[in-house]
Amino acid sequence: MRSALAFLRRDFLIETSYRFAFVMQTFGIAFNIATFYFIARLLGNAVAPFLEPYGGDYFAFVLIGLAFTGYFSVGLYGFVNGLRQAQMTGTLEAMLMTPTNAATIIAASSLWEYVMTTLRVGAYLAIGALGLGVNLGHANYCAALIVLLFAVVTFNALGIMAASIVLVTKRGDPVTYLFGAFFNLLGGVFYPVSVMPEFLQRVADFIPITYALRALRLTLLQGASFETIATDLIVLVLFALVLLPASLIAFRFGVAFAKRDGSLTHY
Amino acid sequence: MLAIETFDLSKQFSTPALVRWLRRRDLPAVHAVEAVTLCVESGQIFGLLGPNGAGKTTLIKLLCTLITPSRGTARINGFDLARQPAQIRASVGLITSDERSFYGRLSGRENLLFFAALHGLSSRAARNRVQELLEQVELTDAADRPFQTYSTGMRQRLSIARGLLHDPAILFLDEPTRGLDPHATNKLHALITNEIVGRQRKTVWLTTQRLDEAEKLCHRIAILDRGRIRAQGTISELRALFAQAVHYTIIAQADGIEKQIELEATPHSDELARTIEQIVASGGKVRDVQRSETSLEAIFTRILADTGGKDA
Repeated sequence: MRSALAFLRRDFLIETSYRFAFVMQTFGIAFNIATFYFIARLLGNAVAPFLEPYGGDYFAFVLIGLAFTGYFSVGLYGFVNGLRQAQMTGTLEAMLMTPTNAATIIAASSLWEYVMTTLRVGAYLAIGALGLGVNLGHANYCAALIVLLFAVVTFNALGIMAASIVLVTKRGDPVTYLFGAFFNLLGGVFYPVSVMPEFLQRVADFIPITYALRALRLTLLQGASFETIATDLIVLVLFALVLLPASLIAFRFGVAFAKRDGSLTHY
Repeated sequence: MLAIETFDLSKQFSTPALVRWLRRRDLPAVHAVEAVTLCVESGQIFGLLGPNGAGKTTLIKLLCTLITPSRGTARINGFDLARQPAQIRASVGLITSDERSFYGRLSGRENLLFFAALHGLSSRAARNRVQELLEQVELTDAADRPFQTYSTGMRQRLSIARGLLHDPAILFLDEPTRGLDPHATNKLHALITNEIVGRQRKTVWLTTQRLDEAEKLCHRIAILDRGRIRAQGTISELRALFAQAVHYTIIAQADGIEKQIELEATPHSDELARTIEQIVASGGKVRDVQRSETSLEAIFTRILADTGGKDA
């Protein structure tokens, strides 16, 4: 806990020292929302049949996709970024000389991003609900939180696997390339999976974001119950149960390999 | 009591072919450290000398558990290298000359507070310890300035403060005076000898390429070349073993004229006595004899030459 707070404080101090970038991030959220709001107006009711399970409104659909993809991106890329940043700034060795273990160091490195992403998600939902007519009045927040929890664990596990590979290869890992590409193309961030050809829909069945976004949209936009999202939730739980231990084993292997190889701090 | 003991400690870097291909550029397969057996007494400054690429930093990283050895064992502060890495890390501090190992936009104090938390110090204990260390390394005035504005000497002193955060019994200093000017070097030497070893009674392992620094600071030294220890002992012991000649300067006077005679004599020979006898026999007087010890540099060069090593 003490280490986690230290990382949060470190990143807060560093990020707020770049004040202009901090302000620009806030504008970025507003510009993003505005862009998709106008696209939604352009599309009007033409796309409503595809979006019927989610209430038929494209802006509400894409807002959930945009907001929560941030969480999954932090999970997927956060550890690799944290590891590479520590290697490149030369601080990794100094951190590894402390009793805090390597897995905690890498995990805590992305905590600040999670805090910022939570603020961004809050901003997306608040602007959408209060200013642009997205109805979150009968959302099932409890179910949405449970879905989010297992989705975050799953994406963190993928991120830890990616970091394990980077410990060995130094740069470039198939996990983030593969799943990063799937995010936008197959995961249903900007359009529902049902608009894709049948074979791509089958591929989308193998990636966790498909289940996470579908369940989040149903719970937040339609107030869906646990029974309605049971299949999506069970698949996410299975992903988490399989990937998390596998990723921790992979990370232990990655650290042991880099220590044998003498390349722990190389990049 | 021994602070550090190593037995047959070896490290061969050999990356699997597939990983070498994935990285494109990689470490060559080399014996970086080979069969190192040595010991360091508690409370002493131990110097490890060697030319570039001798394996000095690899040996430190092995002892700090940052690299896994291929063969051999070591005990650091009584803890086994293979079985008790966490206890070893808790009892040692590593100070490198890498200026990048801090966060440039954080102040010296903020950097130290961050690392103190990773060492498990509570918020209050960390604040007190950091203040105490900033005073020890004479950085209180600059404590709240961003690290990126620090000079090389200040960065090095902050690095020492970080190494001392958890009050370790052993400090590993990897070329701590590299890039420092003479004033900053002297300041750092005083900190090591007076404060860290003199007052706090810590054991210091110092790697350096500066022979004058080793001669000035170290109780014992070892010379590492191409991964192997070529010699170890006190500087007097190494002189006795490796000095080929003792240099004498004789001031003699004959017929009212003073002369200076330079004599290279093999140790324990009677060459000096015979020379003095000759001067006296020819009617001269010996006014002064000065003996100069063989410099550490000469010993170092001799050892490397004997083992076919590179120049420092």
